[in-house]
Amino acid sequence: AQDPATVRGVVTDSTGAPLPGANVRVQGTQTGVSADADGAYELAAVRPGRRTIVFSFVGFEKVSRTLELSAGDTRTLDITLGTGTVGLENVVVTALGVDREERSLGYSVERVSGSDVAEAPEPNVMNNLSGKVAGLNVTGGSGGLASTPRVTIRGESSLAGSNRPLIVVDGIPIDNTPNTQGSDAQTTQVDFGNGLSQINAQNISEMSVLKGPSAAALYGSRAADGVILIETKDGSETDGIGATVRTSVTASRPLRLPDYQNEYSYGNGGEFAYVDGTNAPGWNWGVRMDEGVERPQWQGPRNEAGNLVPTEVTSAPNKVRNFFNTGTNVSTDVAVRGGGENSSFRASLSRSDRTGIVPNTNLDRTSTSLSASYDVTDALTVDANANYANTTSDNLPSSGYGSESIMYYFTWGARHVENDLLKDYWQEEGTQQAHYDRNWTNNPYFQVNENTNGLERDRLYGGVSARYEFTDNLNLRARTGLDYSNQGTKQRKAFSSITAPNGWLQEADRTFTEWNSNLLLNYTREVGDFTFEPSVGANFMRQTRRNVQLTAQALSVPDVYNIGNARSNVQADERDEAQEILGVFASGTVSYQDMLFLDLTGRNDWSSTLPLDNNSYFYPSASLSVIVSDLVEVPEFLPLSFAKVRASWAQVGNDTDPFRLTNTYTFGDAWGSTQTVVSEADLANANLQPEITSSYEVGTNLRFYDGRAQLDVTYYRSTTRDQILSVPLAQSTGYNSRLVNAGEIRNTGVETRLQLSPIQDWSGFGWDVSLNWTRNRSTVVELADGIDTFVLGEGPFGGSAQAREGGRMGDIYGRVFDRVEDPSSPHTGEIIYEDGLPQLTDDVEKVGNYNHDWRGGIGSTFSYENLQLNVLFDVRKGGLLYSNTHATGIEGGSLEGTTRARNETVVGDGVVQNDDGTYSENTEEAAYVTWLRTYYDRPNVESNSFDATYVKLRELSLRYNFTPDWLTRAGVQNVGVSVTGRNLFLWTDVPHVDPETTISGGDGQIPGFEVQQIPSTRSFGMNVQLDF
Amino acid sequence: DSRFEDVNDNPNEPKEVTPNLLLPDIIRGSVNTSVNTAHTTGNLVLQYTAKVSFATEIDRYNWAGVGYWQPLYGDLRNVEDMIQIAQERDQPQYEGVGLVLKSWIFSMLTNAYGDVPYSESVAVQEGIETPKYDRQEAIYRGMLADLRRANELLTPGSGSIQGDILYDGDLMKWKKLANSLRLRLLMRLSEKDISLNLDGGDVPVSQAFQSITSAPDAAPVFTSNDDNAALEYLDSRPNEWPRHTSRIGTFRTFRLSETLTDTLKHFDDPRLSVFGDPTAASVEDGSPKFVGVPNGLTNDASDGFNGGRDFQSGLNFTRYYDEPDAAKGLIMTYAEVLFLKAEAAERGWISSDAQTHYREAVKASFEQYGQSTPPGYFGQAGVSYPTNNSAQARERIGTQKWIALFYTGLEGWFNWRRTGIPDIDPSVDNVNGDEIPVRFRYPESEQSLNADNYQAALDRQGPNSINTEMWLLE
Repeated sequence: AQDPATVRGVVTDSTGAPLPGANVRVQGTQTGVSADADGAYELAAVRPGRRTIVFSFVGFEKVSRTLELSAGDTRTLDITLGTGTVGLENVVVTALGVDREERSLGYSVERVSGSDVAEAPEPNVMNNLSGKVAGLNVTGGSGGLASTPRVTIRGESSLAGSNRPLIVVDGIPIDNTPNTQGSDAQTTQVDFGNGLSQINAQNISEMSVLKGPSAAALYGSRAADGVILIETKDGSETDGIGATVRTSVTASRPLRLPDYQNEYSYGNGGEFAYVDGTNAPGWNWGVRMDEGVERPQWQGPRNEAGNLVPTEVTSAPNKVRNFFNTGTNVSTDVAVRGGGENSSFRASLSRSDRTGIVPNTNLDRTSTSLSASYDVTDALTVDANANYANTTSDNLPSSGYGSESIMYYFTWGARHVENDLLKDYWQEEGTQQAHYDRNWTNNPYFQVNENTNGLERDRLYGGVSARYEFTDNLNLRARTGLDYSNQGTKQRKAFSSITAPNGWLQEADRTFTEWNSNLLLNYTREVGDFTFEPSVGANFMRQTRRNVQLTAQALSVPDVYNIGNARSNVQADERDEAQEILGVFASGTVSYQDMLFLDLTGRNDWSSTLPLDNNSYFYPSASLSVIVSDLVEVPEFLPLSFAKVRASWAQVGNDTDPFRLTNTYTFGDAWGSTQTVVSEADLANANLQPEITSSYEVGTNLRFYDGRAQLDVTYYRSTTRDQILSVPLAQSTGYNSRLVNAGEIRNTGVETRLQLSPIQDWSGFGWDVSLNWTRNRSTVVELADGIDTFVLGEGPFGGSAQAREGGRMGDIYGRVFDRVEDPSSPHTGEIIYEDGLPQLTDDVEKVGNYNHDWRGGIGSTFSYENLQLNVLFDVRKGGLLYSNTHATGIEGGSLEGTTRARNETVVGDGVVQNDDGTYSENTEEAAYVTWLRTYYDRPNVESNSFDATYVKLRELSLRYNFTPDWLTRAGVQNVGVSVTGRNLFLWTDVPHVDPETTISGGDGQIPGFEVQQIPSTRSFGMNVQLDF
Repeated sequence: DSRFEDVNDNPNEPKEVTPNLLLPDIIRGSVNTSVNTAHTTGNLVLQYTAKVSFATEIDRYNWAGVGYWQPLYGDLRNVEDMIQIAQERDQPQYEGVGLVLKSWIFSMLTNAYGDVPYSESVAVQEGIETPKYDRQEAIYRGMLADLRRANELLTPGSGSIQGDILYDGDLMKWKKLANSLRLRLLMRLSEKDISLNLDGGDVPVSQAFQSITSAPDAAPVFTSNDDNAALEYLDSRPNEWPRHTSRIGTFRTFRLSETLTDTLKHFDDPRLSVFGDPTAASVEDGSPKFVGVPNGLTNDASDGFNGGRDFQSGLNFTRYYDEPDAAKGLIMTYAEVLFLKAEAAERGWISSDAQTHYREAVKASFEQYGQSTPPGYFGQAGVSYPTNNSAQARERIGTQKWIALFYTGLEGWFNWRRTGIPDIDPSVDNVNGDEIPVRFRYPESEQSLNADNYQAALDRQGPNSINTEMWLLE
């Protein structure tokens, strides 16, 4: 072997003080040391070649430098570690786990360190990325504890596809399909959480967001919508044995509840008297409360004859807030890591117990992980990691529009009935709930305690990889990985439920397995000032899904939730799916003097889901990075310390779902013992072609004042053509749709990031600021022949999100006020009235778009010695939200704003059409109640929609690190104590609800519509972490 | 055969099936659509029921979309498939049943909309993605021809059928249904001066009608309530009476109409307590009373009518909601056949006695609901049959037929359009200029996805309005 090289130096913080114990490692090897008491380090026995040295220390930003080491070299490398987010020569992980220096990349990759998402982790770690990454759009869901956020990168490129980025953990893609039962804006649904809800934030070392298809070309089809890479912690930065113990406690409350009125009771037409609940009106247009009005009431006193005695109708102003619990999360994480000369490992065990704000809901997760690395020989390194997570819930809440939904209950339920009256919810134990309403809603306590949605999910993912160095400049990496999950859900409805008088039970079992295997051969060769790094590789992916669902539509015996208890035929659904993709790829990097970098890639995939004749598709990419500040002399008067420009172009091909080439028959529900089938209403297509996304991006990275200010700007444009989508057919053909290749969507956008360190060290005080800003436009360039609109998702009551040629993705259509169209009329644009009431159009019109005009994040870190304060604001400007809560809450007379003079009349502001066709001002009176309910009629998407602009104080955390002597003697290196808050404040003009919400629809989730969401939460937490 | 081909070979679902597997869902689907549309629209417009509380628009003739077109064409997809498989497999009995169902479903469509895609519908496999609209007259000729063909195919010995959830494989009953439907369709042409092609050449409608009633062996029609085309629901989802699974609160906003209630009260007709319930308040008082609600009140007015919903009669809750299998999905009944014969006799199409048919028809209707005809029923004013006043006789037939067609799809409405019986007033607060609607609007999807043919139909028929008179009504 060649003589090794040596690297030595001193690690200091920004004040110049040494950082004893800082970790210094050679990337990708087990070679590493800790800095001594003076911050000095020496890496002996570094193998010559191009090596990246990584410096890290708890509480400081990780920094890496790449050196070209010759045999026998001794190099000095002093490093300053900052506490802020401003890194210098960052190493980023790109496709297939290849580490690259950021400077060499011709495309945009953004990183978030594990500590940034682990401070106050949400059940779904994606929520912790909100507002932190330019170009990444995270929208919280609506479903309570396991709520799944909608995540897109650089807009929506696909009409019918999911538009979800690919999630890769330690090189292994993992399933991230939404997992919501029920998918209709008009019904309730339960969100059981997606794959990311099983990832333990404490294990994350770093997340990288690969935004464009360039960055992702090598991951294949599924990366067309970007990639989020998650690298988990390993033991490689440890010398000897270390351990971390962390425990945290979090409490959460509803962030926002609708503003209800407290003046009028349940009832209709200003009247209310309880009889037996069968004619329960379902709204709050009743009598005045708290004014001595007496009425027979539910559970009121009875006289000797057994008749209800009228009692005063009083208000219950705090009933909704009081209904909700304080949600809690108690979690404990233990991690042990160790490293020696040839090996390292890390093992962790975590437990998190959460309870939701909705009573009787919980979500518990136990997870364990093990990663290990071993240098078998000088040339061979083997890594393995395995993660297991078990998630269980006795009950997750239903949300949406229906009697299973809690907010639906509060919208239509009686304003005057106190919760206490409902808590004893059985009238006849097991068979009949006690409730004042036999028409519309369930008793809320009955609902949350009896009609439960249980979950048990096991997930195992991980892989083994080996790296063999044939020579210093030729190595082979092989990796194989598995993502396996099994999920059982059990949903029950008790006897006397509004939607299931004889009970109901549904059990579903879903198994998902994906194997991914890669081979990658890398070669490095220097010729003069040029470095060539070609590689070739192959990937094989096999995915299987199995779903079995059993439903008992009625039960024989109450309160026994076993499928054997079905009163008649059990409805059974079974589906097996398999899909395989074989890919081969090649890439090459040419660099010149470490300041010009050219990358070329090419990949060919063969997918099992496409017709044999069309199942092969090739897609290339090219990218260029130029370090301008190295190439030319920067004039001294410019405060510019670094300047890079980059450009890239890429294509990605995409396949489709299994079994879409030929039509089959679907099994229907048997008629007693008579089986039945139905022919499929969607026409398959035996001639499908792969769809292709092409994109380019240009960008620059500029650093000023020695890196104290850094600006990143990217402009991109991507076009997806030949999309595989179901286009509707005229129903008179007997079919609903046919599958075609058609359509073109173009996304253009700008992403910027500005990082500042105004104060690096001023008497121990530091201040960093990070700003990001994103604007994206998704344009529908073309749809299929003969199709002028494509419905992306149906909202409630006739509203929908559509793509129309020439419009934007996510345009919201619905019926609006009928207005005077004649431009010559003096009343142009005014609302047309008839009989004193505003009129609605018959046809749907565009009202707005669910996408925000722009998004931004403002993060700031203040540090004073060992104290660190982080603040993050998340800003979304523009966009439209239709609120079902608003529409129905007004109709039901439940909300604030419905109380004004209920018995008065109004003359609405608008015009009436005269007999001669002209218009004149409306003078006809209408009853206020009728006018109000007509004005905010449910299908009126105009009057029930709002500018969805909002600002959230997303995160606030205060962290203190200290190490008292007495603990040091006990082996504790560091104690970190922090208090955190998430989603503390919301500023918005949208009434009643948190505008950050989605509903189920299409292939996943659609924003722009709010349907009786479970309130989002504001949480406070406290964490203690001990590092040994 | 490649590996990939195997991976993408769907193991979950068959590629080929036999007709008996397709038949049950066709029947269930089309009957359910008929029942649901009767409930949401047909019962309201012919004032059997009235809507209260919210969404009373439909009772006020604000008819946006009705879920009729799509599910029926979806059923036709399966019907055509079944007929084709039956032909390939040489199973004429399934072809015969298929033609009966096809004609029934198309009759619902054309009666509701007028011109509709017929000859080119469900032909995507032959490359027709935008089917032309056929003239209603051509559709009627096609349906009548198909039903005649079905009558020939459904002969004893033409094989047995399975999957028959309507008649349990009794081909004779299917044969009777084919011919009974022919009577219904021919009577609907009573005002049209056209000739129809029978074996013996072109004949007027009346003669076509008579050719059936005079040939009970060659063309049998319903002869008792046992023959009724009435789907008997089961006690298991999704095979229950479809309203059983609807929302209970919504169901309770459908009340008995004042029109039907007052008529039945006037006749002291016991079918009133089959169709509806006395008011909750009167039951509480121990003196059950029926109070119908006027059609077409506004949301607020309807809810408050007569002091609130405790003082209004609803639909029979047990029969039409609570019991999963009490009510039947009515396609056509023996009573209707007798009413058709009565009217034909009154019109002089056939020579039998109109009054006899009329009385038998009313009795059949009582019997169908497990009631015996009250003594003296036929002696009452408004019920008694005037043998010397044809116009009044037809009014009697029409009124009783209207009662008998309760919950029978949209047949009450279709029949009223032709005869103007019963003489109902437009709903109170209607938004249709005091016109009672006479058709459904084509769905918007046809306008966007089948634009040229849709426009051609409008050019022929008139605007896509609920007031446009189709060929049948011209």
